[in-house]
Amino acid sequence: VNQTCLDFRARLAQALAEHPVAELAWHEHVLTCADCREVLDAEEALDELLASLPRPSLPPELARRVIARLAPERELDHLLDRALDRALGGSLHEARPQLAGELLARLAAPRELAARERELDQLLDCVPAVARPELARDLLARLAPVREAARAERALDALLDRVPQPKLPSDLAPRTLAALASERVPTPARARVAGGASRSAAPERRLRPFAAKTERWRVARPLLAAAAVAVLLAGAAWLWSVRRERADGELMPNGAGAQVAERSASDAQTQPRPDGSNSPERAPAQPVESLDALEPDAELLAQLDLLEAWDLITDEQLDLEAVGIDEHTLLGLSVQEDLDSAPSDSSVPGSSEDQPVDAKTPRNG
Amino acid sequence: LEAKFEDDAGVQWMLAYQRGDEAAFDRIVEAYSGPLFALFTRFLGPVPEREDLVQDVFVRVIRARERYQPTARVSTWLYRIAFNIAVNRTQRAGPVAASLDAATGEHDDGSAPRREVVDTRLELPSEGLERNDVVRAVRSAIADLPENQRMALILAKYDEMPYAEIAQVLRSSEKAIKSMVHRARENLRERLAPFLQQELT
Repeated sequence: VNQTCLDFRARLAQALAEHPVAELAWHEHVLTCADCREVLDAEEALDELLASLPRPSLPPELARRVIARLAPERELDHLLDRALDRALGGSLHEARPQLAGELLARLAAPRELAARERELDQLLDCVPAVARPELARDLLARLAPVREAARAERALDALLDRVPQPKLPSDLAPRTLAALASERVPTPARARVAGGASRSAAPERRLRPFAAKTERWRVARPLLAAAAVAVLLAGAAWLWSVRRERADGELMPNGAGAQVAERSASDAQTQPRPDGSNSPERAPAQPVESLDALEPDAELLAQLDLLEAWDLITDEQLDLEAVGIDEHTLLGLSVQEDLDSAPSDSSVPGSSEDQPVDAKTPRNG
Repeated sequence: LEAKFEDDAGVQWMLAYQRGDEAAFDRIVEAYSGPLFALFTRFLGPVPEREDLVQDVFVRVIRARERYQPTARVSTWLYRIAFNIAVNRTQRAGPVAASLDAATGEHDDGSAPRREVVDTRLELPSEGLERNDVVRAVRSAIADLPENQRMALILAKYDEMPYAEIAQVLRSSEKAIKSMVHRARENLRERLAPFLQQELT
């Protein structure tokens, strides 16, 4: 402990009486003297702990008693005021020389009372101190883990603060905007900005343009669409070939054709009709007699037309269109399954001349 | 927070962009590209594609233009997008590059890789080595944190973002974020114990 320490501790003692000791945390001496730092920490900890103690609650009758005892003194103040008003209200020549003595005599009793009140105040101030000599040491011991944790937190913060700020490229925003230009929908406002001076100086080093990413997708999109159309056409061709095979069976002179026709008729009975009825009486199945009846479904053709419109195909909803294609492919498969699984009921007569089998096949979805 | 975000300049810009004001989008990019770049750098390390990731964030902003509805500050929304992109990038490309010495690679356009250059002219060589060791260790420790803890710590420590906003970024509760940051700091204390001892002494 040197003279500087003594000076600091004197200042600390003064600070303890006047203001929070935390203000001394930045004192230059603390930065170099561990002992004084420890003393200051201890005082700070004690301050914090003491500040957290609950406020003592005074008995409610105390205030009333004090006010009651102060009442005569307050009355005395009023008397004094009135006396002074009377004395000074008139001419100075009318002031009586014995006024001071009279006033002092009248003030004697209240002065005595005031003295007693002061004694009471002194008694009240002598509330026994709760501090024990070992209190500070105990408190410091209890606070040690907390203080240690706080120091560790501060040290960790200091370490984290050592990581330098990332160096930002100076032209990041213009290059980002330039790279995003292809993604943004051009509008008159955008065109005006793009034609302005701020965009005239194109940065030399550009980001990986988003157009490169989207371009691959735009190239791949028609290919995917073409593949989907090919799959659809193949499905339609397969469906048409199946129907033609059935029609050929109908035209066969032997029993094989009749068997196929019967299967077709039974399919027609099992399929629900567009009007919701699937009664065999209302919809008698007729055998297929003409290849014209094997025309693909009109909706299927409409889907083909739609798919051939490239502006729709290149739309971002391509995956949705592709889902539609899969459904039609599934349609062909479902027809085949129906044909395979239909029972051969020879009792059902006739053919479906007006309502071809495939025309009544419900569409998925 | 709900009372604050409506006054957020970013929200106003985004709404203006939604109404067709393309210049508002320019302002959004100019205002937030830097913080996003810093966020990616801190979260992923000095990986070469940070600028592309920043670009991806704004591509998503463009695509969400029509359906944008302000429910938070724009920075919160952008950080949420950035977090998703960064996590996807981590899962796709593996662990983050935490070392200062890690090669940052080359950009797609062939330009030179960007390295973070620190001005060391005013320090002694030994101080520089020590500082680099500490910085490397701190970055490595941060990089080893789980993704949620890492992002929560970065936003809390370096962006000084309130827990409530971090909770919106990470789609979690404020209490969970508080716990997350606490666990992240515990992990860092454990990893950085030798350096912390030096710091304490």
